[in-house]
Amino acid sequence: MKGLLYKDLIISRRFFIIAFAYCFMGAFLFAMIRLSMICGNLADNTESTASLERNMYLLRYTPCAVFLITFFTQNSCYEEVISGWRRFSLTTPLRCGIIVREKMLFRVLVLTAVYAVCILYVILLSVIGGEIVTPGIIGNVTSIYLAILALTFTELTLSFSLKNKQMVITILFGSFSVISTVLIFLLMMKLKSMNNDPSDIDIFDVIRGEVLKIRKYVLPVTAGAAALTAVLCNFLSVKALERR
Amino acid sequence: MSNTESAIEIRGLTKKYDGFTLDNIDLVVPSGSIMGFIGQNGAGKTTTIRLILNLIKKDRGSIKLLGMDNEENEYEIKSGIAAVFDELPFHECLNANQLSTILSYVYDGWDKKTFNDLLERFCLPRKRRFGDFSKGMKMKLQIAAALSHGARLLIMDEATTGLDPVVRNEILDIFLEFLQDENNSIFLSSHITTDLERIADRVTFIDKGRILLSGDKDETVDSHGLIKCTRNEYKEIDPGDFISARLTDFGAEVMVSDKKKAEEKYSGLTIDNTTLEEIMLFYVRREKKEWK
Repeated sequence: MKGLLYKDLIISRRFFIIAFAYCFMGAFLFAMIRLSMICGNLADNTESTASLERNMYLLRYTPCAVFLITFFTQNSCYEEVISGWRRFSLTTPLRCGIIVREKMLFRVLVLTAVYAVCILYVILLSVIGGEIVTPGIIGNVTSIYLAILALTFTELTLSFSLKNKQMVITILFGSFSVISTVLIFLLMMKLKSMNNDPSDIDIFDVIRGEVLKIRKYVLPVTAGAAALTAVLCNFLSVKALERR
Repeated sequence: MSNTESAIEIRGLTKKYDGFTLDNIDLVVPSGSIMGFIGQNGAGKTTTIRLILNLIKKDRGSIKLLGMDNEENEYEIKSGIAAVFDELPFHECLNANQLSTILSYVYDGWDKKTFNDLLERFCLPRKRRFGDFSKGMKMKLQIAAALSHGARLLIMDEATTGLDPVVRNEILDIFLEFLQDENNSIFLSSHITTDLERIADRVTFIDKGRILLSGDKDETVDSHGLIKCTRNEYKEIDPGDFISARLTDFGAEVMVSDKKKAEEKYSGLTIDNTTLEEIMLFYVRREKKEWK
């Protein structure tokens, strides 16, 4: 497994550089804006500062986008198929279980490294902004980390099971579209049930309110989902590789 | 690993696809020999090799490598064999030093010194990425990797295809050196019959998923003959005595599988020696019997 991890590390290192460059660029931008709000030009403009507060809320979660960048820039299983490594590895004494678990471990290591950087980022921003790091923010970042981990295991299983990359992308985006549609539908139902004048409704407040309601379940649910997909990924991917 | 007489022993191997069937293949590669596996594109060479390597599952039959069943003892077998493909199976961003490190974790018997010596012999740079290698360099690299973990059986799928004659000769020399150890064997699939004529001990012809001919190369070449005759002389040859015949503007070329018998029966006709390429050509067209 060490050899395979070493190989993936060499192959993926340029992608890591890109991902971390994005992360540091985001941190730099945030720091500049935040410092302007505290002691720069924006500090005198109360109206602008107020409108920026909400944006800052979103900006605080920008490192989470790095998870997505990492997810999409990881060394894909299909690169191994295209390069011929998959076929070659099956002619070596490497067991199918080792091949699958190495891929899983590598992804866990990469995402955990990104997670550590994101947590540092959140702490750093709070220090710059003179705020206290809340467990809520760390919990949310952890939930996103676990959700992406579950997603990456799903992608890995599909990569081992399906015949081409397009099928994997189609299934992932299809599932994403279905989930998004359901969530939008639920939101519309919620808005309808409020019976208020539509112009009085702040949609972000509604979403935030709904998120707050389910907040305590998010972390355990994503942790459970990540653990379950890890077990399923291991089982199904090994089976798919052995069946070949 | 046990010392066995057969490096590869295939019995009744069958694999069905939609539109193609590898049908009841029997094949034996004795230890210490080099077997040429000949056939046109789509004949079933790659499918057979994939089945041997257990890359795909067989429908029926048995495959033994180095005296062991290729499914039951898969991982033990794979420590003792090496596969070489027509394309480099390593990522193009890697270099030889990195590959050596990776494979040293993959194979227990990886010998860094042997690998480095082979790189030096092949004039392959250690720090250049494989993406910048020529096709010949890539093939040499694959062979260097295949010979550096103590494999006793090399399985090669069209390994010399697309290479220039100089590189091909160099590679064939390495194969002959590998065979100096009588425990080592090579199974080489190719449609370049001249390569096999030079190095193979035994040959097997495959066509449309069936083995047409398998045996000692020299015996196969010596037993076949090509009768060159006029159209009138051709008409007098019994169709049961030949594989197929090529009709030309000037006469006919007739492939016979038993040269001695043909010499006795058709003493007035000239029977020339033949080549593996001609044998393959006439066998592939055997169903037409007569062709131009």
